[in-house]
Amino acid sequence: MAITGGPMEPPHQRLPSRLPPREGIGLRAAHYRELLATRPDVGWLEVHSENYFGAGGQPLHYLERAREHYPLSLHGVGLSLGSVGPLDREHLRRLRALAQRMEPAMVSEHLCWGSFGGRHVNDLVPLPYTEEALEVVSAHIREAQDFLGREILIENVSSYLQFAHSTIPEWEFLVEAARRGGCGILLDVNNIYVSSANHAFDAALYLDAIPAPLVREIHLAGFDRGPDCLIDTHGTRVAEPVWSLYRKALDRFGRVPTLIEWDTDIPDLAVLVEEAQKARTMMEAGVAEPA
Amino acid sequence: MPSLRDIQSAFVEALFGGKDDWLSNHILAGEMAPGARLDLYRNNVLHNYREALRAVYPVIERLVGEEFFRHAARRYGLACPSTSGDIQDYGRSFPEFLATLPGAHELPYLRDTARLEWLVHEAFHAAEHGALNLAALAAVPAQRYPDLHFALHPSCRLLASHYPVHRIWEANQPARGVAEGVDLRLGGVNLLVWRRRFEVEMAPLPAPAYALLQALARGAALGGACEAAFAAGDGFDVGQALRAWVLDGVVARFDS
Repeated sequence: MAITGGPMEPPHQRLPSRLPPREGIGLRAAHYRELLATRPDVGWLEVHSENYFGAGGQPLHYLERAREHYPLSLHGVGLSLGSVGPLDREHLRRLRALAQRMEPAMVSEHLCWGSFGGRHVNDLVPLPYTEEALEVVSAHIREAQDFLGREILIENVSSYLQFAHSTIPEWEFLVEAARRGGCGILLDVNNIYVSSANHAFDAALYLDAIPAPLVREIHLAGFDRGPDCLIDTHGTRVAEPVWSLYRKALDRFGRVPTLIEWDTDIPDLAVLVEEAQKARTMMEAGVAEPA
Repeated sequence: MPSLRDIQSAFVEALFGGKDDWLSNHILAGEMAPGARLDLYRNNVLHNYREALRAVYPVIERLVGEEFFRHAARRYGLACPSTSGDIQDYGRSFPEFLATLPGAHELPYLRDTARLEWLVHEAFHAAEHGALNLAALAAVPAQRYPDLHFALHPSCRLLASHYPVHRIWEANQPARGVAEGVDLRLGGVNLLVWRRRFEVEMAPLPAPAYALLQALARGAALGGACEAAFAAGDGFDVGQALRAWVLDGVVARFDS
């Protein structure tokens, strides 16, 4: 289906993203002390925004210490941009308060939904890729950006199901949501790989469909093999075919800030840094800065 | 074409135990049946919920064992879905739910121990507050003390139980080796939970001290709070208790 494309929103006065074009790692509670004591040579840190929604205490303290040494990215998992109905204003307020306190270089969310009628599944559920969903999600992106007073990125999720009434390929939906919402894209290369295996599409074609200027960040993570499909666990090292896809992504998008994500079975900090170094080596291997 | 609202409504219904036949008709099959795909999401969601509960209730998991905890978390997840996009808000009503499960009556202290773990969780994330201004307090004439309102640190929580839940909590910390038994004949406890810098502390309190803090937490002036304290028991030195609470960061502010 051809996408007609809504009118472009007038540009807002928003904070631009400022992550350095380097490798980053996810900061998790288990590594607070070691990270601050050893300050590994990585370019930036990313945390799940909601983990710092509390009013005070240890998490916020360590995050404030960490941001003194590294640029920070806030990555949300619970805003549910794709839910019908209004965005959760309380959630947005907590996110804005955190962003004001931490002054992150980047704020990102997911292109998915996770709540209906006050019930939250606290998971990333794919949308039907339809014109209706596109309107819902892009309106929410604009609302979130206006509320936060800054640009956000939206990330493609991995998925284990597809809706029969989807009329738009996922990659087109992602690009169009970013265009209509007026935001950037966080491209999760592992999620593309997982979904391409689960839904039998060509991951390289997915990359080719994304305009390079929209891509501001890349995620890499590990998956597990379930009995019938690949499961996006973020609990292992990045798999070899995902590294290959990442090389293609670097060719296409240039040197984009790249995160090693690890959320379950958290390994030693050294393992994260090692994976990040691998991404850095690939980034530096003859890839020029994006224009 | 089904509306997005209908899809999301049916998806959430199906996830929490409702029918999924209508929804299944709108999901592509391929290598896996739609029902199996929904099962995958249901299991992921319940897994996320369970992990959130495990983070807040490690003592309960140790007391009931991994198997029972898994079972309890699944039933709780299906009965009481999360109501926040922040999973750290999840599980407030788990203590009451636990008490209703078959088998829970064998551990009568389970509900109060779980309540204590939730209060520890709240205290851990509560707002910061600076120390009370002692110089300003010293400048207040003594005859005005009964009218002063003392505010507790935002992390302060009070819990009264018929069981020695602080001992049970202490003996079943995950970092501990074999849990030592706790003699239930030790009886109940009035407990103050609060955070000092980053560590959550707890202190058992005599009845008058507990009554005083309860009254202060409700917003009573010091005079009224003292009456509540003296009604709860004898031999209580208000001045000494207040000084200690100020030093420990329990009493954080006063307004005249």
